[in-house]
Amino acid sequence: MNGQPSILAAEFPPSIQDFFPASIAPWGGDNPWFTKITLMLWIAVALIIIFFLVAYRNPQMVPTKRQWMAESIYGFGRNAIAKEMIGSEGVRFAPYLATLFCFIFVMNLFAILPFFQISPNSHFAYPAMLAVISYVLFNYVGIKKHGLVKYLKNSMVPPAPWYILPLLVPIEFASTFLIRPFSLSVRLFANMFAGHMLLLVFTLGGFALINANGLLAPISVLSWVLTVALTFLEVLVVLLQAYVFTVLTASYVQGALADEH
Amino acid sequence: MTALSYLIAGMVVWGLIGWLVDRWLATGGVATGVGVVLGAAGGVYLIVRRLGA
Repeated sequence: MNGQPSILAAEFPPSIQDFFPASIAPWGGDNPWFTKITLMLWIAVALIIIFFLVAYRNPQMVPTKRQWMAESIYGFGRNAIAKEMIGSEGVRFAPYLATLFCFIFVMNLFAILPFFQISPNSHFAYPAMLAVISYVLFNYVGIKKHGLVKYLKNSMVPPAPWYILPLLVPIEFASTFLIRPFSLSVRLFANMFAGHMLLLVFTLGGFALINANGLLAPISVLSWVLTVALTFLEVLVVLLQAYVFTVLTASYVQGALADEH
Repeated sequence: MTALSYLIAGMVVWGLIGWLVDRWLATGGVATGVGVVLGAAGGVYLIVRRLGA
């Protein structure tokens, strides 16, 4: 920048390119299937499987510390989400909900882990796929319990006089079958995307300021302090979004299972 | 969350229908406006009906 020695070579402002790390395929080439993002996906899956396998390998009546942790996580998904939202018959969805919660949480956590620092969920494909799974699940469960016609009637025909129904049925249809998967995935994606973008802006902005003029150094320090503060905010967002996604999935399943509205 | 989704769904769906009517009859935006208002009304009605007391 203007011939001054640049502290950091990254360009400012950050762009969408920052979300697409280069391929790390060992045989070279520009392979989109082997990037930092997919590596994190595999690490997340492996971490969750290994953690629960190890924790349950030798279960004790009086749980060990690791077993206690695993049981607490599953118990949270089972009691605080599945039972709380769906009721006693929700226990059979507890494995899915607990897995979903763990998976989203670990994937989100990469956003603030040193050396990873980006969440795979900031790529729309990941939340979109998770939303598709939840969408298929709650529709399947509803159709299986009520039959197709009764399920559609339950979820699309509200209790209202017949003359308002033409106005309401399209709204119910769009809200249940079109907007739900969309809002579910966009909520998670946008949170992780914006979180990463914010951290980039404040970190790189600090460098841009100090590169532009040495007198601006205090402001760039302020910018980096804010980065630390925002990282703590990200911790909250990471946990909250995993929870929200899971709770909403549970609430959709509950709505599909409900007899009458 | 459900309330917001009903409101948005109502305005989007009936706004879209109104927009199509606009294109069909070349009414220049009147039908879109009517549709959005109708959709918002329907959304509010649904919220009261499904989530209200």
